[in-house]
Amino acid sequence: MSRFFISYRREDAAAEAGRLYDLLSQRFGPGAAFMDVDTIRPGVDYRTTTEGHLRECDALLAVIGRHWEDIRDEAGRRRLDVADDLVRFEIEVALARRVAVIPVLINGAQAPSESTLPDSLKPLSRFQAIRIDTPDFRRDSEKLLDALSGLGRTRFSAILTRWEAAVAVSILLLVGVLAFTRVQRAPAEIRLIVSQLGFRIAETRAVVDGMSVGRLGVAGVSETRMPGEEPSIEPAVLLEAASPTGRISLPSLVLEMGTWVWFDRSNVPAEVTIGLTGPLQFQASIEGRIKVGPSGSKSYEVRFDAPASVHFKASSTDSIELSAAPIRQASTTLSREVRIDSLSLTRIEEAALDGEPVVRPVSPIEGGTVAFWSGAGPVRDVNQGDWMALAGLQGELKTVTFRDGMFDVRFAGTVQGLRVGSSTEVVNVMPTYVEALWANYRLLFLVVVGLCFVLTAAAIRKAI
Amino acid sequence: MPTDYGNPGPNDGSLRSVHTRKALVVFAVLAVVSTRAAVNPCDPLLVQPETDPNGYRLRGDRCEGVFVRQVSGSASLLIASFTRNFAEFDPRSGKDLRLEWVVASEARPTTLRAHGLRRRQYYRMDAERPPGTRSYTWPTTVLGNLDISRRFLGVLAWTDMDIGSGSRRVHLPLQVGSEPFRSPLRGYELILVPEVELMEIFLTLSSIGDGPARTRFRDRPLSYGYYPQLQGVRIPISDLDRTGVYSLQIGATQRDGASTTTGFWFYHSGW
Repeated sequence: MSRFFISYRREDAAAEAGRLYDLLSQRFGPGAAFMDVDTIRPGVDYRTTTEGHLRECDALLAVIGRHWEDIRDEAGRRRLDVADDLVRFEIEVALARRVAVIPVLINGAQAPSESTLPDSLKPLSRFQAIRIDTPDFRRDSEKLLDALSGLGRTRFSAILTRWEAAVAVSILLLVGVLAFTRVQRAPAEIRLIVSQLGFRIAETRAVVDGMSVGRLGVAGVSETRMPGEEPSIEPAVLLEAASPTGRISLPSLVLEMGTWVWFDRSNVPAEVTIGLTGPLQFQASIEGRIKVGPSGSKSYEVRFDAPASVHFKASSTDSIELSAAPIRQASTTLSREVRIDSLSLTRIEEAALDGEPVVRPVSPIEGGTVAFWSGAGPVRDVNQGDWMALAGLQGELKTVTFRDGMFDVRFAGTVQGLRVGSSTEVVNVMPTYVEALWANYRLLFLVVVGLCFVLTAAAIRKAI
Repeated sequence: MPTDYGNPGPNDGSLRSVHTRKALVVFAVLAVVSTRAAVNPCDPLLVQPETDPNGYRLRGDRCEGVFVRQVSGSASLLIASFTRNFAEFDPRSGKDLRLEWVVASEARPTTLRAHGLRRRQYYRMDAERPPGTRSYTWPTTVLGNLDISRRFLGVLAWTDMDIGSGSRRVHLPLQVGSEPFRSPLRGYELILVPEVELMEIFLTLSSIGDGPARTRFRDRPLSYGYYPQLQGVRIPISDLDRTGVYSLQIGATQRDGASTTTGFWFYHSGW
């Protein structure tokens, strides 16, 4: 659509209108100006086309010659007084649509007087006119063109089609909706200080690191074999260093894929409880004076001058619990680089063998953070007393460190349905789609949204 | 105004019939409701996992299944089993388990309860038998589904008895097995499950008769080397010289320095 509509009477100022059309095309480019002779194709309804151009244009230039007001039709009526006069129609439409109307007075023509104009055109007499005289046509026209340039800068909406405006508004509405809609899953790095945690391992591998302990309790196994003795069906045995030279070493525990592992702090400070399900075979190494405490008979003390092994065996239905007091109490890494497919940071109580663990909503969390997209996305704080639940999880436990009676857990992977809060109010803290777009396509997102804002603002101005 | 209370009118017969039928219906409804209320042994405090087919719920004459454990946080001692004879059985064989006990009071019903002893598997069975009943046939469908064998099962039976000025819960030693019992053992096995790891368990056994209680031993340490948390502690009880009610007081010291106690009354009918 053209930016400038040239309204004129052929009998009055056709030549000047044509020159003006040429100058406008030179300055603002081909198609910038609309003039009935050149622009309307044969067979097209003039009124409809004129209305369409006037709806989209920035300004109507009413080219007024000396005879503009007085030209009459064959019946002797003044054309301006005839309702279907085309010039009158053009100006009426422009006024009705609040398009800027600029009277261009040619060769000394006077601005039309309000008293001589029909009622619908009377506002024309109050508009600031520009004079163009044939001797100084080029110079006078430049003033007009400069004025139109300024007008064009403020009428960006003129180049906006309805479809473009609709798309821009739709995108902004979509962004508004996405600002409140949360993604189902997102990559996250979690660091938490908790008093207990449980996880299900996604691959068969060594899950619990070996460690030296001053005390090792093993409960829930099917079989125990002390050095030099026959296997006994003893469900629980305690090994305790009876002197400073006594040494007990717990080996790395290789667990099968799908095993649930629980880390819990004992009711005794600096002692950790590790729970897991069988099948499992492992052997603890003992040396020096060791107190052996079976759960079904009296304890006794044995001295091993060389390292010896105590064998433990658990079946698939056994639920094993290891109670260990690490010697290096300041900080003990229990587990590292373990792929897991489920994590619970609240107390786990299993209700069925084949089902998911049932979680009690009481928080053992001391604090921590959840950083989505490695910190490029939103970072959520987890406060002391909060509890946390996940609908799903895939990833790797980077480290689980036992320090000061608490577990320092670092996880990296993908989380689903992460909720954090108190036992009475839990909120979904998964990122919104807008946060996801911002984290992943920051610059592109900014450009698209910015452009949509500009287009929408222009569309709104135009509609007004 | 004359009032005739004695002579039935022409329609009184049919009216009486209607009233009788109404009364019978009401009685039947009340009977059904009261019977159902009486026989429903489910513990309303247990949280039932609704979607779990093995969840704790009413199954005929008993409530059985796994439940969601509500952690109390207290360091209590759970009496999980008291048996005279508990034979090995295959939970997946489909054979019913038979529970037998000696009735201590013919007038009182007997309550039966089973606990799962596997860690992190919270299983329970509750049933109530009418007064005078001496046995119960227990279908092992749920036990088979959950693969709970003798090692992971504790069973209890108790009744209320009037002792002294009040009524007390008195446990009855059970014989449990899927085959007929050949020779009952001369001793009982009590299983105690501590919530936290213990340092030592102390036992005091007294016989309760018409006269003053006679203490057989006091504060005797069990002297096992290890009492891990949630691991059943098997306590043998034997050398009981006379029939009647006994009281076993159990005291325990915890590893964190605290202590806890519980009491257990049981009926001994002789060997």
